[in-house]
Amino acid sequence: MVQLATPKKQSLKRRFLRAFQRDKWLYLIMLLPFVYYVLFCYYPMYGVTLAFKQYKPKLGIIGSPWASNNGMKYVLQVVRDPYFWTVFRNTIILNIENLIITFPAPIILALMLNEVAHARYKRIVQTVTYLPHFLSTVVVVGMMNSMFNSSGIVNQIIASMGMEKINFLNDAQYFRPMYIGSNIWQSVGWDTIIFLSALSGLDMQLYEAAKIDGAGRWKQTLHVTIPGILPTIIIMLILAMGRIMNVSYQKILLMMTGTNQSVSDVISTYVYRRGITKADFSYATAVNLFQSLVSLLFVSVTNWISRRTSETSLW
Amino acid sequence: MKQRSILALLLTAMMLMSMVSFADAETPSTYLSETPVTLRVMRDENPNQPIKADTLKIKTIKELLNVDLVIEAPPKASYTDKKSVLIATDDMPDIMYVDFADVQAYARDGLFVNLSEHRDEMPHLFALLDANPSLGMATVDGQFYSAPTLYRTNPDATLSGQLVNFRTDLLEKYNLPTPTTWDELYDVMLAIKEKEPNLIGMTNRKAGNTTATRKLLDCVAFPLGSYSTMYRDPDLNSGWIYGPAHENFKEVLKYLNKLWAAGLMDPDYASMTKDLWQEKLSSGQAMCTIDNDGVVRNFNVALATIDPSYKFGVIPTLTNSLGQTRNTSYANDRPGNAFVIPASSENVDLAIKFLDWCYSEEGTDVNNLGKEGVSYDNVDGVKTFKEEILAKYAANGSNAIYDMSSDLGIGLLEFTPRYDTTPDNQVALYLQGSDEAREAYREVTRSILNDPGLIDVSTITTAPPLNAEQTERYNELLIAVENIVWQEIDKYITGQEPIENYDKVIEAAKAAGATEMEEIYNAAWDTALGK
Amino acid sequence: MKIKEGGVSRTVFQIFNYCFLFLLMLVCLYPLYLQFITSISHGLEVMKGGITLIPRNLTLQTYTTLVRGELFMYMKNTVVYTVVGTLVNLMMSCLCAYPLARRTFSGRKFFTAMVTVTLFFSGGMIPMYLTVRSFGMMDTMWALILPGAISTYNMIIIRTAFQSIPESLIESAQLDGANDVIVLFRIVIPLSKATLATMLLFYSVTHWNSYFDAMLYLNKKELYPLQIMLRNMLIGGLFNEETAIAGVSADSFAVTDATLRSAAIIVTTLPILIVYPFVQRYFVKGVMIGSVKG
Repeated sequence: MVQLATPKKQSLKRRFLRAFQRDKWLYLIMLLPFVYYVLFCYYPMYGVTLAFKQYKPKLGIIGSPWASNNGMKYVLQVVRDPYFWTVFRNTIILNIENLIITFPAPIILALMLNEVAHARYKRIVQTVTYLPHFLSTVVVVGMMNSMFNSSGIVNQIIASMGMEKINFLNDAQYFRPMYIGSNIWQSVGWDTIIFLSALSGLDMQLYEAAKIDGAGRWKQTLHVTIPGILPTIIIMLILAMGRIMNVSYQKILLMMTGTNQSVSDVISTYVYRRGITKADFSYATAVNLFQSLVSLLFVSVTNWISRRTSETSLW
Repeated sequence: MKQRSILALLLTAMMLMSMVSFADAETPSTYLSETPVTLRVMRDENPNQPIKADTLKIKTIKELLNVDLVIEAPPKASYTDKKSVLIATDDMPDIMYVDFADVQAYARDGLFVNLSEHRDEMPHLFALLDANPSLGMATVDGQFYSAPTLYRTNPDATLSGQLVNFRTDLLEKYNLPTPTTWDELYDVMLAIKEKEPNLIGMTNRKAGNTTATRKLLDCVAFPLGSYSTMYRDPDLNSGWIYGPAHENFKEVLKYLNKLWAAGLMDPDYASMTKDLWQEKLSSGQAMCTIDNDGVVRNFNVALATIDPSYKFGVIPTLTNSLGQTRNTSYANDRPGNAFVIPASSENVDLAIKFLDWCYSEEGTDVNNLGKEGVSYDNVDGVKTFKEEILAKYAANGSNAIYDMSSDLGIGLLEFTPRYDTTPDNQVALYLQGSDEAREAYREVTRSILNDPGLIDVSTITTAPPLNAEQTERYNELLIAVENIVWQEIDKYITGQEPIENYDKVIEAAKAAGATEMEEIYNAAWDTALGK
Repeated sequence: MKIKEGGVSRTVFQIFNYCFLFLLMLVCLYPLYLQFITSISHGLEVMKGGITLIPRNLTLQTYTTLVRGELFMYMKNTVVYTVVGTLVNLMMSCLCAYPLARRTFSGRKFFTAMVTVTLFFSGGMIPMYLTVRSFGMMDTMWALILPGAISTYNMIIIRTAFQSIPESLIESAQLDGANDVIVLFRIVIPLSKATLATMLLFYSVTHWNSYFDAMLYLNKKELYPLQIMLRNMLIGGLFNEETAIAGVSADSFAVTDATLRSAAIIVTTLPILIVYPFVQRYFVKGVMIGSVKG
């Protein structure tokens, strides 16, 4: 009241001090995580400069000279390579199709499990469906190959019904369905866990209230269950968007044939192939940086939409 | 050869004698260092042959050299990642197993010791390098920064490669002649197919992270008149050419398409895996595969459980449509797989001496056979594993060689810069059981050894040393060209595109850089030969 | 078991639901079953293929071969890394998630931004390696635990769970004189059991399955976890190009790459299957109440 002359700056500082005083316990709790993020996430981040450097191991990342073209050599190598844009497109298409199909699957499975009244049956189903998560990619693709080849069980069934055998493994048009299908199979049970745990936190009184209002089982699901787990769904969706540029090269390399390469070749496999001839860290870092920026864009947009339409958001 | 080994024997004997006579002196003359020194070396570990810490080899090295050898062995599956991080952070052990591509990429940055500067301290290595001028291609700016994996021959040496393995029992059954040309191979497969329509003609597999089609072409393109990548064609006298960008490659595709059209190609050839390949061969579903004959011979055991007469045999090199009779055998010397000494090592001098010792006859013996009198006997220069050792491991069947090598610390899959196939050959012979079986086995291996059509694959593929810009440009072009070529090949094999259209692929490959790649290689080749 | 409400359509749905889940279960169970019968079949039969429902020429030799190696040493290492690593993960993630979940926290914006950035940007393999080395963590288990002490993805999921706890509950506790540390441990964590059980599972399975950090930061074989061995069998064996030794008798093929691979998969998966029901309790129980009451 008296300090009319106080500059704004000081009041800011004061406000901060007061906030700090009030939240001191929270700051204390945050201390260890803060140290962690600084040491293991932010401190190594100088490595991003690799994308602009002509890396010399003897000189270290900081000491290495800048790459030619004002350091843009590798960035330009990425951006100007027409084949990079082919694999970029393949990556985005594959991941978006994958997301559209694999994202709702565990939610549906969780809701279906939720309708099972036998506790033991539910537990057994849940335990069994998450098993494929533990099989490594090599095994999964190996089994896919033996089931879907020209004399495999699937084609035997197709042939016995008098239809023509389908070349699942080599035909470009079947690559994405095969890839996504095996993904669902491998991850649906595991991904259900998170939604089941969200379901378990729902307030029973809401169901009681809905029942009193005369809502049937379907209505209850629609008006109580789904809104109840919506924050989890949204957060999972936003996080999934963050991975829109990531495809593990291992599975694709195992599934890749000359014929399906036009759709199966993605950023990670391309970088991998280039890496065979030379461990090119600068190129790989430049690609990474590009991928980070694209996924940042995807997440920001999703987050913005979500904040506009619901209360949930990442930030 | 014999003279040299006798000489080596004499030398070893002399060394041993001197060791005995000076036993109470301070340091045996063989010691590389007066005080015991620990030397860290690194190579990848093959899952079949775990690398152990306390093997006969390590003990023998300690006794002879006063060196405590520590072999760090990251798993093979992740070695590339580990290796490239260690190189990139200059955090390497005293000696490291690398690809020559790594040497090319980093030697100029001063990461590795220039071995050529230590020529006098490495007499054994350089004697071997000088004896084979083609190894001079594994240099950077004319200097050796890496010691290649080298081969020492031995009395039971065998030869292997991507050979034509055929179900010879089928030929006998239907009274068909052994084919001598690729066209005859087609004819007999067709004749058999008529009798047994369910049989697949030719099958193949995926290997590593390349596609199955690529692996197939790696195996069949050369015998059919071209090659799947850069090579020097011995019949065309053409210098370096990129196989798929040349006219002769059409012959390869034509032949494969002919098989496909007649239903003789495996319908799954483009998506084959190693497991499926094994399954088709060992269950008697396929007539023929072009692959490592040693691996294929293993399937005879499985075939015999179905019908004792079923059997794969190797067919001598076939003549192709261009009149060439040729195929490749595996390279003995492997300049691509090499050992480097990091300049940052604290034990550079010792590492140099030790690495050189590994190329001496004594070092080669220890690395491949263990210790004389303990694991093997040496009678007039003929080295033979002790009967009880062979018998002990023979019980492990197909794992015998790995288990024995793992326990003794020996062989190509250990830290062995100069290898010799004595353990493999003697175990293989021992496993045959009877003397007749051994003679029959020797007969097979001898016929392959004496096949005039086989040439060492390294003679057509050993790349010339490139300078820094050439390396970078070449790698860029190779990726661009392969992106174009390998998406097209299958269309021509399956007849989706008529062979005349392949000219367009050739044009596209040339435009994308195949011609420039050839120019780079030819220029570098001439430079290396001092033209 | 009140499934009568809703009449016929409800019953039809229930039948469909039960059958569908049963089929799904078969489809998910089969591959592991296939690995199991492969691992107890004779290597030669596996090579010939066609094993689909019943094992052929039963043999336990594959398991004796597997155990003969240093399996138990690797197994012990993996258990230690998983237990210690998961505890550190959960602790650190809760500590990080709680302040970020509090809407009144004055540093919330700053810390949220700080954390979110790491979802997208990281230094990469080389600087990470240099960092771990400069902290002297090479060849220790801390190299596998500390660099990944918090998975930002999982931490955000925990934060979302913490946020669903009514602010009023926390405020009333604070009026009773509880500080934030007490609120976190006495109120927030106990109320988020289901989510934390899930995270326990996520983190521990990540540790159980991880091999890359171990491969990068460990040079001593006696420190290796189980997955390094398994992966080498799966991938290393796959790339094995030049093996030329011919076995002669059928016996010599009792144990092959393929059967060893399958046995290794069974051995590495089994412990997780045994532990799982104990964790599962926490989130499936809750759902059960929901459906019975519904």
